Amino acid sequence: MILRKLTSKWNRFFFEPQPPTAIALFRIFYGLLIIAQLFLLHPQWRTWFGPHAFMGLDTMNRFSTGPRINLFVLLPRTDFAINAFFWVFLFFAVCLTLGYMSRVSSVAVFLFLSSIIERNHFIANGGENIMRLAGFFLMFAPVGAAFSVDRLLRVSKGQEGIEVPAYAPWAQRMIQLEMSVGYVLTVLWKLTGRTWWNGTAVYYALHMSGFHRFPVPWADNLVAIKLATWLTLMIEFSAGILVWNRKLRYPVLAAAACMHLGIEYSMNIPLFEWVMISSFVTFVYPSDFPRFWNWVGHLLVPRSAFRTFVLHDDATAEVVNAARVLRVLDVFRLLHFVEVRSGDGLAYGLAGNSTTLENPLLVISSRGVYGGYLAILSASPLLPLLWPLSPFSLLLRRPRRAAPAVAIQR
Amino acid sequence: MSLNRRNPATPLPRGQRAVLSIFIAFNIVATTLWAAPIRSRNVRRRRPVNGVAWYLQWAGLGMGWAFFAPDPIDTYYYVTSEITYRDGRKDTWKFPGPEDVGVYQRYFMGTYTAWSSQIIPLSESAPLWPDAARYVARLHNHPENPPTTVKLIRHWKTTELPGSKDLSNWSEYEFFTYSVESKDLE
Repeated sequence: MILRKLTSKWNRFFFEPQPPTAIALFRIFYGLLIIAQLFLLHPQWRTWFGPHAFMGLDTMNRFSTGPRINLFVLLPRTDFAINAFFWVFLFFAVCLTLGYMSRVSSVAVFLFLSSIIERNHFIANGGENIMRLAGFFLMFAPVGAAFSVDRLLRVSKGQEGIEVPAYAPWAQRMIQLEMSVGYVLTVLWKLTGRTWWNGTAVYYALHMSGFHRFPVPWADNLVAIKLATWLTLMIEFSAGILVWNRKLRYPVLAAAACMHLGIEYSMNIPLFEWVMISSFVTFVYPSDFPRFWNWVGHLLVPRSAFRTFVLHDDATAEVVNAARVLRVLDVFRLLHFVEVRSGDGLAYGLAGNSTTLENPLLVISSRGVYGGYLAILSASPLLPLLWPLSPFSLLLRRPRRAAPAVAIQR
Repeated sequence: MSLNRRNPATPLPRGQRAVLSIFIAFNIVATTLWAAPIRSRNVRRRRPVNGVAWYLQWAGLGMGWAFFAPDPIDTYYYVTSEITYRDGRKDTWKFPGPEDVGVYQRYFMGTYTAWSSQIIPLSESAPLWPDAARYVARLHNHPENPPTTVKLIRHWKTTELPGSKDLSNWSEYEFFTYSVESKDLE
């Protein structure tokens, strides 16, 4: 009986399908962090990985035991090959961020990241190692299932509907578990030291010359130092254990995020804190995302503001798919879709009147009426994935004629 | 990938769940035991002797979580080098470190921080010293007057708690001398 209950709970936790929103968002943060890491490494790329690096590949191989993933051993030892490695790595990191060729990109990023760590594991910091660990499970996760170019392509081809399919979240659970186990283990390691017990550890951490970033006013106040030391242990332990309590999850994550931001402010440990904070998105409950999108949507466009309509005449498959893509892009639900031949169209007095549309897909906003590609451009400020295009929307000229928009806005 | 995608109404087949469950349980147990503070650091670093350790290292799952543990480092190191040229002239060069640059540039110095202050100065890193010395020699190579010797010098300072006796002067120690050969400069 107990075994059956446990099995049932295990199956529900790891395999009950759920929306892939969290893991898809984590993919974006992860990709951005990989790009940032490459940006930080770029000025010294050949110093560390080139044919005449600080440490030769042969020396590193003498240190490495057992099977390792290191693509550098397959490359010619030339500057060209090492530079090409960088740009190919960057290409796949960008693809992963955008969700293009998601599965291939996630595997490639894992292989490339593993390689730079194995090429000189002495210079790899905790952030890189955690990214590698998360990257391993990301390869098995449905990373391209949402917020991705892959999904847009599938929707535009009619292979997938508006609703994102649900997936077994086991890979996401592994990332969550590794993070929470990591927090617990780091506390256990710290408790084997003297300074974490006597409360002076943070003092030493803040006074490590090479890690110093911005001044901390209380860095020499022993009372504050002791509080900070013990608070660190409490927060890390909570992030490992209490994060699994539904009521406490968000306060614990908020406290852990504050702790990481504090370390980011005071200490120079490139990207480590951002890696940890970005992993928190995997802990967000799926049901909370729609609420969050609505909240952001209302911040972007108050309820009282002019609504933006998308009129589409679904006479052709192209228009059907284009409207679907816009719906998928409309994360914050800020667009109001009206199919002119549907009941909605009838309500607005448009049904059977599609010939009056200058274009089978129109976007009507406070700025005017736009068709075709300009319609998508005009809607871009409301669509997060198109935000890079939104500055160009300011260049759009106001169209001379606004019908039938005026009727729609009654 | 069929490992994940399912309609909510149709969960993964039992066989697939069983295989994945074994994989999940194995990873959780293995990574936890690998990183747990139940063995000394020396043992953790020893050559992997079994398949589990190999798998964890291969997959990048065998990471330690001993950040700032057991205690934060209380000694800061940096390394300089003394280069002697064929004509007897001497030059010094400091391994780049975050202490030499401003706040923005420090973002780019994470690798140097690890290398110059946490790896090269330590005795355990002795096998890395010839490579480091060769790098310095190549950096200072003048074909008409090439370097003949590179010495590596460690500088260190210990952080003292406020109110305790100040012992925080910089100390230095010449820890490695390398005779440069012509092939090192190619």
